[in-house]
Amino acid sequence: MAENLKEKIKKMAKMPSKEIKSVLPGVLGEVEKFGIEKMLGEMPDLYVRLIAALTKIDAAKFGTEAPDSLNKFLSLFWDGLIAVGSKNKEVIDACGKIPEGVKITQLSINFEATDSPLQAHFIVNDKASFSYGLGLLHFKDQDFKIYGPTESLMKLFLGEATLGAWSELDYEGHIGPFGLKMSPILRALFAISGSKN
Amino acid sequence: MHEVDTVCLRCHQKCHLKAVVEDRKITKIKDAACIKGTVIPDVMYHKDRVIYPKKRVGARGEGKWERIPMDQAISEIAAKLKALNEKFGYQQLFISGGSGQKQLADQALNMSKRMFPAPNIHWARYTCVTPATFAGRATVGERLVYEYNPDMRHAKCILFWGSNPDVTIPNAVRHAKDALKEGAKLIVVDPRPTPMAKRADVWLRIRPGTDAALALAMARIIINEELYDKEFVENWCFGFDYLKEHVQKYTLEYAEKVTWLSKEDIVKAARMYATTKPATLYPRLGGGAQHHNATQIGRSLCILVALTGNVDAKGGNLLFERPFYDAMMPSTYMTRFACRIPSEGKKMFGYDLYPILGKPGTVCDMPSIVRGMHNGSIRSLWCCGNNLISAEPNSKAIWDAMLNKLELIWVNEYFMTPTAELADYVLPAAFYQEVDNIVEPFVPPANYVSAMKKVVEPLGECRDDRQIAIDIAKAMGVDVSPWNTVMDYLNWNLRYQKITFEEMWNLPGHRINTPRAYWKYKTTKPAFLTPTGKCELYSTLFERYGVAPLPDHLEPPDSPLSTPEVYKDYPLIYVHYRIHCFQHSEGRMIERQRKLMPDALLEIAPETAEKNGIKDGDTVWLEIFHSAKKGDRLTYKAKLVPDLLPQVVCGPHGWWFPEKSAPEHGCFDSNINALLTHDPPYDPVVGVGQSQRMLCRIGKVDS
Repeated sequence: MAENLKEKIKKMAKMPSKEIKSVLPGVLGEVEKFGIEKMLGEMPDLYVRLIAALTKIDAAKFGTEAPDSLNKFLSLFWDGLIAVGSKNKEVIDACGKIPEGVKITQLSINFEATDSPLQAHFIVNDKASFSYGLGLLHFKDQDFKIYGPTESLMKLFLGEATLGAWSELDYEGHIGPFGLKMSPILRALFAISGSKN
Repeated sequence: MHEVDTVCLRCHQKCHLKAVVEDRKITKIKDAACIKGTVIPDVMYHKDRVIYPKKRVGARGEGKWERIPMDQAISEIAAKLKALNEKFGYQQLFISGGSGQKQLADQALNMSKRMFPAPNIHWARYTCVTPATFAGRATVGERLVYEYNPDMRHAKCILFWGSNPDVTIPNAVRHAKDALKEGAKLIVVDPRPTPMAKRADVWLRIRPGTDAALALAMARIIINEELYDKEFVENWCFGFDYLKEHVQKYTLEYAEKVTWLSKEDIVKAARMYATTKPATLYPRLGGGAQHHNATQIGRSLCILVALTGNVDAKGGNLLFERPFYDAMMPSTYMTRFACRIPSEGKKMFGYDLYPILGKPGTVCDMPSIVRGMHNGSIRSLWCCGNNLISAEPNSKAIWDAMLNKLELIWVNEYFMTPTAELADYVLPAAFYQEVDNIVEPFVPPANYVSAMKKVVEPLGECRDDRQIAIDIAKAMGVDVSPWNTVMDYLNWNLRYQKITFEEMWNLPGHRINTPRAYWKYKTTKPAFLTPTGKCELYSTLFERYGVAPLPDHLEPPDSPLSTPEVYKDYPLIYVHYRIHCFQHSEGRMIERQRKLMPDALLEIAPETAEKNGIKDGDTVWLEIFHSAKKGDRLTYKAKLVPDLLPQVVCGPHGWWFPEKSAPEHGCFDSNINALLTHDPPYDPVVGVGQSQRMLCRIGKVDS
């Protein structure tokens, strides 16, 4: 099954946009059925390929037209990332540094697209324990928010967008956690999702 | 009688003081560093202080008011604002905060951005602070050449560049004086004979507006003579080779011609600054702000700091904000909480023109706002502690829009300023000693934030600006949590410290300290918060946004070199100066302050005065070439200043006369903002236009 699914995903790169739009929801369903962690083991560059497909079909437009599929992708993305990241030394080390100089053990981050319904949140603590959810945490519960065009958020998810230094993405929150506390964790996590191996 | 620790917020310095309280009134201030702190009780209990809300009942500006309860004022404002937002979108509101009520207004504006919501906010300091901010952020990811960066106490060489610390930072200047007593070298770049200029080892009496030419010529000397800090440049900087090639055109011959300084003095200053370590550079408005090339002038100064290895060096220019960032300190002024620009954020005025400016934590473009006031895209205005009419260039155009165009204006104020006179509602603002607040120091290497507890209850119906913002949002039906009260907001700011405001107040010194380390970039990852993670001599951030990655000198739009024909008729250059007894447009109604400077004085060199038939104390007029209305003149009292660069005249900004008749209160008489325009050219990063260093002429007013 894995080989067939891998082939399907690889083939998407050569498909015209219209065809990708029709097969992508099915592919996401199959990945879910197969198990995201197992799939990442089989195909470490899974996210790179899926996001390339989403970018090709205009992720913002696709997300607006098919929000369920967008949410399916987001669930798979965070599920997989958490499964692999919680065992990854770089990620664990980065999480362990959260309390340095501050009396907090947990950070909550919202992600919001300004051109599509993409909304998700992610919570991490100093023990490298993660959780995520679709939709946004209330302002009072968030430490910060990263927002901007869907495509830029997708780049961020692959570790290809700069955090800070006024990138294409904007943020809400104190500069401190964004620049110096959260960035190492996100960098380590998104190094996994951005793996091209 | 008892004493309470408090902080003076009447200027940037934030001096710690003691308030003597008798019978629930502050009767005296102890330990004030200057008159602004001493007279706090005079301000609070002034007979003209607004302590109850006023609603306009006559025509706008007619001066007819009725007293109404605060809650009624809040609910009426909220209802009108909501209706305007529904009809025109929330970008129709412009919120302007001034240096008055500075910390409180800053916070209120930022809270409003989220709560109302309001993308178009602006504070009056955008012409002076913002370019320096962006210059630093492009170079090292945070401010580098702002007021709190120079570590003067530990410096062996201090370079004051267009700054007059004896007047503007009377508290922090003691650190410079201590260092000078111990033998530190002193360089001053200034056309005015400031106290520091008079005692300098090298005084560069520069032609105003040519600071980048001087800085880049100094950079060329430092590079070509290999006086730069090789370790810092090689290991921590990006773009040295580009810079080296770039500055070669800034020859001494060029610099001499442009700056009117001698080659010898330029060389002497460059060598002294580069070879006396550590050296600190303290530029202020004279160092390049309020110029259409302001950000790049700031960049050229940052480059000097970097080339000489003085970035975050003890005695150099500190990365002052970094410890606050590291500790998630609630530093309200410096590490201002960045609120998400509402989803219509792309409609923040100026976003399309200046994409870097349009980011969270920054401000909208003022020229675009004024145009918007006139073309109907701005419909309402909230001035929160900002005397916009006096403080902003193009003030007659703003006056006209406020009088005739806007549908809703409300102002939080202490006094009936010209701006308040045009409001529909004037809300009485609580004074600093009447509110709870968190403040940070402004003097490196200090690294703490302090609780500043309410000393006395607000007079009348005076209310904290932040609470007014919350109350208006609530009245519009907005979910304001977690900021239901100001105390909620303060505690929310302290959440990463796991402490409440009350607990903080009970700490020794009422403060939270964080470790102060130097050369922090050596241990942080990334070293600098820039795209390359390095100190960017060549700015990749600017390059990304289509702005020149390396700075150049640009002449002011009208100047002896750019418009020599105009210079024949307008043979002088106008610059501003600061006044020790006032902060911007504030304080003119406070007798003990005003006594120290009763009149708006125009500084003129004696030889220039003589040429124009002017004597000390004469009433004189000033006319600028590029004026909002050709031929409009301001009047001042002449003050002859020996050793002032003879081609320069200097005036104070923001003057108005509370004693003159309402509604103008003389705000167009002696205030350069009445002549200034919002015309191009603009700084390509922050949109600032030329608001000083323009050609002018003067004459004696015949009696």
